[in-house]
This record gives sequence, structure tokens and C-alpha cells, in this order.
Amino acid sequence: MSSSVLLIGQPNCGKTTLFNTLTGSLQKTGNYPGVTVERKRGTLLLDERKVEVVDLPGIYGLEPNSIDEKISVERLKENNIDTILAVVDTTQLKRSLGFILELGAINKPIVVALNMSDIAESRSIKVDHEALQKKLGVPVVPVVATKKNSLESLKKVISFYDQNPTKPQQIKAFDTVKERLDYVDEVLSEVVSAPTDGDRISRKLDAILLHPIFGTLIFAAILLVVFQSIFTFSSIPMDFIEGSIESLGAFVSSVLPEGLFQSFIVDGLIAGVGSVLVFLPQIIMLFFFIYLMESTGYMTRAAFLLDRGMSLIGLQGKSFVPLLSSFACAIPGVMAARTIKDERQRLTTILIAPLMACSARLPVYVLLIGAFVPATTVFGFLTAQGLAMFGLFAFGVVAAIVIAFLFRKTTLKGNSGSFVMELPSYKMPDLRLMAVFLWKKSMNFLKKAGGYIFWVSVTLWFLATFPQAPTDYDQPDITYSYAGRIGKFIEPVFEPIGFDWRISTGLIPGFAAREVMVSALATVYALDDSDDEDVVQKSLTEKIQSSWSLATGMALLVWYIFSPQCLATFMVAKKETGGWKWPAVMFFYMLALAYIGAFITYRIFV
Amino acid sequence: MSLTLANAKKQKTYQVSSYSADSESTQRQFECLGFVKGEEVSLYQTSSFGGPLAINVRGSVIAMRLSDAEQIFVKELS
Repeated sequence: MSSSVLLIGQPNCGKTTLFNTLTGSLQKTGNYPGVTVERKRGTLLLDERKVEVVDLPGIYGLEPNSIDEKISVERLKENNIDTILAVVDTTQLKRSLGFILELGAINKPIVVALNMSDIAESRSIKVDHEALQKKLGVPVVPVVATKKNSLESLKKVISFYDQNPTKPQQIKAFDTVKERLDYVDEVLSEVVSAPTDGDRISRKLDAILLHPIFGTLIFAAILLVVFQSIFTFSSIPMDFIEGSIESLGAFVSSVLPEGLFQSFIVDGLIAGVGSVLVFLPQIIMLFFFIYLMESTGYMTRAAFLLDRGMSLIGLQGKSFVPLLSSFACAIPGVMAARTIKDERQRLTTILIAPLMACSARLPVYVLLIGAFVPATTVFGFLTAQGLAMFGLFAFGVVAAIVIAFLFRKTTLKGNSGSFVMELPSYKMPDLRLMAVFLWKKSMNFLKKAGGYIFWVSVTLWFLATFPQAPTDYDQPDITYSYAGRIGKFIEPVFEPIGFDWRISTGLIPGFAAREVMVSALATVYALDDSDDEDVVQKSLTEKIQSSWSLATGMALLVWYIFSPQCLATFMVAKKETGGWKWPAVMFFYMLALAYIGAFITYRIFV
Repeated sequence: MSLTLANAKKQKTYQVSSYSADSESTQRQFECLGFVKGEEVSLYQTSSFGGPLAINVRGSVIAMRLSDAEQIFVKELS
């Protein structure tokens, strides 16, 4: 039987959790052809047979409002041997039952899963599912999607339908929505007994969390904690990873004979791939917070609070998640923009995502602030250096606001976009599911970022190593290589903003990946590759302090805020936008901002 | 002067009476969410500075911008 089970339901009903529990690791994800809607298919093992399960994007009704909703409706109506597994939040029957009735029009067998039956029970909501089954004429099975062993009855029903493809049941049809909902009220009055005051816990929480003043303050505090965690707390595991990479490099150096191959492995591969691994703690930390906010339902509250501000620049509350993610790394940020249904708003969000100061900029920021900003205390615990760091971040955000505003007024002009969003009741996050989520996201990041960075590292190693300088060469070896020659060649372009050939040489590898700039500079200044990073850092800091002017240092800082120096981001943007046009726009506007900004800064300080 | 959802105040109940003239797609979208003629709704939470509203409807909470709320006419019950 090559039939499929189509998982459908209204948003927030726990459909995807059910999908994950039913199919486990037997999942395939990809895209629907031509669109950036994720196609999720998996295999459910029933006794000895395999059944394909498809997790369709959630819809509120059979009238689609966006691309992903259109895909759901099209797939539901497709001429196929399907069983529709309609997932419903048991605490939301009043709204979702009407949807089940609508599904009858599709003329395929339906099985109803009453999900979150545990939450319903805890709120004293009692549903006589057998009576409901009689009324509807379709099987109705209570489940708890997070608990595998509650799914046995559901699996039996699916198995039955899979082996006996029958005529679909006749569900009552209605001419108007009102008639349908009146019928729903009638059925529910017979089948459900529930307290009338709804979800009191969520109401009480929202009285504070959605309060215009307190809610906003709490949200700001939460953001502060998130940033602090990403940039400070992750330093411990990051240092650990960095140390391990160096040890590995040292070990391999000692084992392999000196020469090109050793250099390739140690300076090319290990250093290159290692530079991606170092960011992993921050990525995990970021996704940890995102999962927490998403699974508890708080994320919708954040979008609610931010929507007004976002609408002033032509975006909406949901743009917040991609932009927040971009502070750790723009790659997951750009991909997260898929949740924004309005295409022009989505594009705008993608275009400004790289302006959010990402982790890769930190090594350069730290180096330059350390060299040129005095470590004096300004007020209490605030230091000039700390403020400078904050200033760099803020500058990027301000620029993003302006750019978004401009794009939305010109090439990406559109309607103000609608913002209609359900605020689901607050829920406790499931730790096991969180672990699975973090694992998936980490692997995804490693594959994407790691893939590009690997090739970048190899190419850069090649450019910086060949042609090899003769042994009596009196200048740093790198100037003899392709990279050095290119650096000298483009030096005139950067002269007006205060960059000498050394900096422009460092920028070449730095263009493919931001964080590479620091080690590239170290190489250009012909420093020994000491095992102790602090030694290298300090001596590089001293070298820079002595050979660069304050103006140059400041100009490079401002350059770095805007400069489009991440190949991986462009590749992801190309995939998400379906072409080279928008990544090119992104590249050129950022380059323009970087040059102009650096130019003005240089002239101010010189 | 007709009341719309945008005028909703806390502690009061309203009944959906009609949609504004040029809002067919809005109407379909909102009806799916439960905003049908005769349905009882109430205000869950409001925002400052012209931000979105959150409305109780059929056991769930739906957030929408003022521009959307202005298209749904209501009658005050009490």
C-alpha cells in the first residue's frame, strides 16, 4: 500500500511534535519545488509495514492566506490514496472542531487526534471522545504527542485505515461558517464539560507579560540575559574548544613531517574548520533561548510587544526572531525568516540580518577596542571599552532600522502587512524535545557553515602559501604569495580610508569569513604562531598600536560593522531568496556603507 | 457612530455584527479564526502607541493590528 498519512491541523496544535514522535529519526526534509517551504516526510513503522507520513504546514481553514498554507490545501486535495490525520488541541475544540468539519469536503478518510489531552485533563476539561466519535462519524483518539506510549490506539486506527482503504466517512457539510459553528457549539455542549473561565494561568501571566510598560521592561531584561549569555557565558566552552583545536594542531604538527602537507592540515584544515566549531557554544546557547521562548509560547508575546515598533519601519513583530538569531550568526537568522509570510517583509528582514553584530565580528572588535580604546571606567561598572562594544552593536542596529525603512519605501514597497497571530496558552517546555531540537540545529549549523568554511579555508591557505617565498626573502613570506600580491594591488583603493597593504591583505581572507581577519593579520605581521593565544593577541595588539594611527583603527572598526564579509551568509541568502539578485544587493549596499562609514571615521580622527 | 473591535474596552463583552465593505479577504481569514456574525468576543489585552490588540474569541486569543480590528463591527453586550 503506497498510501500517505497527511498530518494537518491548525497552528499550535502540536502536529509537528506528533510527527516527530511517530516517525522518530526516520525523517526526510527538503523543500517543496520552487519555494522555501519545508517539506517534511517521515516513515511510521506499523508492525512490519511502513507508512509515509507527511507533516503539512498548519492552516486555520481551507482558504489559504500564504504560500505554505496554499501547499497544505493543494496537497490535501491532491488525487492520492491518503488518510487525513487531523490533529486538534483538545483545549481548543471550540475553534478547531469547525476545521475538522471543513475537512469533510476533501472526501478522504479522516482520523482525529485529540492532542494535549493531558493539559485538558489538568484543566478539568472532560471530552467524551466516544460520543464525539459517534457524532462526527470518524475515529476520535485522545493522544499526548510528547509521550510515545499514548499513541498505541492512534497507531492501531491508522493501521486499520492503511490496510482497508474504504470510502471516506460522510461528515456533515454546511453552507455558511456560521451554521457550521452553531453545529460545533451544539456538539460540544453534549460532548464536553469544561470550566467556563478558560486558562486562568495564562491570563494572569499575560496581565504582566503583555502589559505595555512592565511587559516591555521584562522583555528588555530577558534580551539582556540572552545577550549576556551568548557573549559572556559561552566563553568557557568556547575557550575549551579553542584550546582543544590548538592542541590537536600542535599534536598533528609534531607527528607530521614539516612541509606543505603539514601546513595544509594544520594551518588550512584544522584552523579553518576549528574556527567554525568555536562558535558552536554560542549557537547552542542562542537556540536554547529561542526554544525556551518558542515552546512556552512567550515568543508570540515578544512579537506582540515589538509589532508596533517594527511596523514603523515596514516590518512586523515576527521579524524579531530572525534578527535576534542573527546576533549569534546570520545563517540561522536568514533561514528563520521563512516564518514571515509577506514576501517583501521577508526579503527586507533577510537583507538587514547581517547588520546584527554576529559572533564572528567579536575577535576583531576585541582586538581593535583593546588596542585603541582606553580601559578607563566611565560610570560604576561601565568601562569605555564596554561602552565601545555596545556602541558597535547599537550602530549596526540603527543602520539596520534605516536600511529597512529605505528598502520598504522604495524597491521593496508593500502594504503595511497584516499581523494576525494566535497567542497560545503558556506551556511547560519538554526537556527531551529540547535536546533533540538543539542537536538538530547544531548539526545543521555545522553542516552549512562548516561546508563553506572548509572550502574557504582550503582556498585561502592556497592563496596565502603559494607561490612560496625564497629562503633569503627579507620581508614577511606572505607578501610573496598571491594573497600578498593582491593586497598590494588593491592598496590604493583603501588608502583614502587609512588601510595600508597589510590590512588589505588581511581583508582578502577576511572577506570570505570575518573571524579569519585576526589570524590573517597575525600572519601578515610575520608573528610566530605561538600556542598561547594571549601571547599572539598581545603582541599583535602591540604591533597594531605602534604601526597604526588611531584613525586607521577606528576606521577599520566602523568598516567591520558593515562590511559584507561572510561567504556562507550569501550562499544561504541565495538559497532562501531563490537567486543571486538579493545577495548581490546585500553585498553592494553593505560594501557601500562600510566604505563610506570608514571614510568618514578616518577623516574625523586623522 | 459604529463600534469596531478597535474600540473594545476591557471587562466588556461584544458581539460581532458585520465586516466593513472592502474587506472580503480579511473577512474570510477572520471567520476561520471564529469571528463570525453573532459570536461573542472580548478584549484580552491592549497595547500602547497604536500597537496590536489581543481578542478573546471562541476560547482562544487572537492578536491583530488596529487596522484589522477597525474592519470588524461589533455591538456592545453587557
